[in-house]
Amino acid sequence: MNDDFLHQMREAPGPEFLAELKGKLDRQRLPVPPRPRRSSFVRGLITGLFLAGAGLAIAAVTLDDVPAHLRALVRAPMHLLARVLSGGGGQRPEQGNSQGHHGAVPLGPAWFPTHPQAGASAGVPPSATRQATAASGATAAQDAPAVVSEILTVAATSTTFTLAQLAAGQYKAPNARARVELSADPFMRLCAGQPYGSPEVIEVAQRMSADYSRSCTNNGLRDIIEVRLGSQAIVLARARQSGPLKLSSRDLFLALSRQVPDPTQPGHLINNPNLTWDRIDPALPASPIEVIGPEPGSPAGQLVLELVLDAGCKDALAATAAIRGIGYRGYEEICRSWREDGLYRPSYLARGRIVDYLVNNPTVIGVLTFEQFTRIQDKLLAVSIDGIEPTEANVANGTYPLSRGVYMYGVKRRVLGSPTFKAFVRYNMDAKSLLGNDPNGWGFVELDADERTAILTNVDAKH
Amino acid sequence: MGQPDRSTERLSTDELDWDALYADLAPRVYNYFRYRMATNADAEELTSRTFERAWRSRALYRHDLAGFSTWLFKIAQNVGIDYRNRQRFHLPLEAASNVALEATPERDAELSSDLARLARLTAKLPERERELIALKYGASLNNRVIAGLTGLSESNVGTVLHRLVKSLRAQWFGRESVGDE
Repeated sequence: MNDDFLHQMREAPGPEFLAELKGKLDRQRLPVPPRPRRSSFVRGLITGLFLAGAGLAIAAVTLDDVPAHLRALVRAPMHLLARVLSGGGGQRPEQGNSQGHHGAVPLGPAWFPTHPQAGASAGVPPSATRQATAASGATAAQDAPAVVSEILTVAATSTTFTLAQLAAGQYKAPNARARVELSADPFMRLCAGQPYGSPEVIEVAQRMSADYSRSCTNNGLRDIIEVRLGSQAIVLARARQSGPLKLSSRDLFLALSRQVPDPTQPGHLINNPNLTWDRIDPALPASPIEVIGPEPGSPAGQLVLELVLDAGCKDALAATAAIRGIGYRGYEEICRSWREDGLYRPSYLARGRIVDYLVNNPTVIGVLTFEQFTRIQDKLLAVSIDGIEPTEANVANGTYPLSRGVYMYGVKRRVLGSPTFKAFVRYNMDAKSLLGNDPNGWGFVELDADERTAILTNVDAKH
Repeated sequence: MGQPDRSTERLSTDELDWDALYADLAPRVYNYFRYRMATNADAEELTSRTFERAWRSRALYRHDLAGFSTWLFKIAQNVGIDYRNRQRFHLPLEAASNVALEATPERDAELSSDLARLARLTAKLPERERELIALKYGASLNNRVIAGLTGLSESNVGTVLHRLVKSLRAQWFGRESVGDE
């Protein structure tokens, strides 16, 4: 279904709006869950007793033959109430209210006082902003731009959009900003060579192919620059007591894809029937396939989808006639569709809870960011993929299958010398303190410090 | 080997990562309203109302009944319905036509934007079909979740969307569609 034109109308909400709304929500106390309702029998009993007591009181007051002591007992509360209302004895109702007032919270939007203006940067959590400021204070000062009036247009894919948007939100300068647009094919837009409407830079999670390079050249763009910003990486992990697990990319695809090759009819696809790992490969454990990770429709979920399924699809379906000549749309349908029968489940467990959940459910595999996993390696074991462990070195050199580089491309003559471009690159790379704990930076892994310094020096030096 | 039944697992409120939920879902709710309302201001307003309502009642969220995004988008749908009903009652058509809108660069940009163009193309579609477009392309929901929100079957959702996209594409690019490319 060629529906790019509908996807491309999405845009990110303004960072100021997001921060302001987040502030309002954070100020809400967690509401107390409603108390369990009493059973209908108990309610009926109480109602019955109340009605009976009221009937008795009425009878005691009105009937002539009721004993005097009973009549006095019924009348006593009425006398007390009369004394209270006349002001003698006990507190006046008005005094009682003011002394007992607990500042009840009114309902409705009037809850929220006007929030003072957000601090340094909008669009990111205040803690992350403080960390970013502390970590990159010197660099931010260096990047204080001259007053220029420019908009740096950035085209990004769905999995790099949030990173680019965060970096753009960090850059504050009078009359200058980076504007990030979602694009299904940023390379095509960059290399189209149009004088107007083309982005100045693109942020993508793959290197420029030879075909696109030729396209750029043919359209007169011979001075394309490439800047490596970092990597995106995920780790599959499970409880240590389950022991090591080695999977191939093909295994992952056959476990988690919506459609897989029909083992009885080569060349055809069927809805995924594999419920246990040994159905995929008898050498694997006979335990149920259960994976928890980001929600499929989210940017993090899209990242996981692409990393987990892409590599295995080509291998698993190489001999399948169903994918020959299917084109890009068919590839998306077959090679990038999660199974939807609950064996891959979205999880919003707080970080501290993920470890406990996986330890208590040792057959479940969790999808974590590289940063998350490095902090909890004492409790969880990474699943090796194609015999390769998720280490910093393997992520940096691109050999770890569930990782890929993040790159920026631009037309040299249009961007070098631009303070907006230099600052945008710097903010995109300075991720560790800013994005490490920020959901929007999910999966991003910084470059090695030396490599980062070398690249930034290069970007700053070329005028 | 049977799969363990985790359908009744109930997570307590403090086990959920609310920051992650917000970061993931706020842009999607925002875009859902953009696709329904076609103005960013309305989208921000309704996104705020949705999250305020959801956050007030998040202790009532039951993990065993629905995914969180399904629960949140049900709230968003109700917020949208309330808003449209109020618009209908408080702004009669005659009054709307007489409102002189101030011409501003922002307003001009909004009116000529792709989203406004989409709103014009979908204005005559049934409510259900406009909702499907917003849930699929604004909220980035899959057909299964959309089916749960709209009461349609999953295959019905896919069929209707396919037909809608084909028709919109033809109108958008001003030529007869020759099939999926």
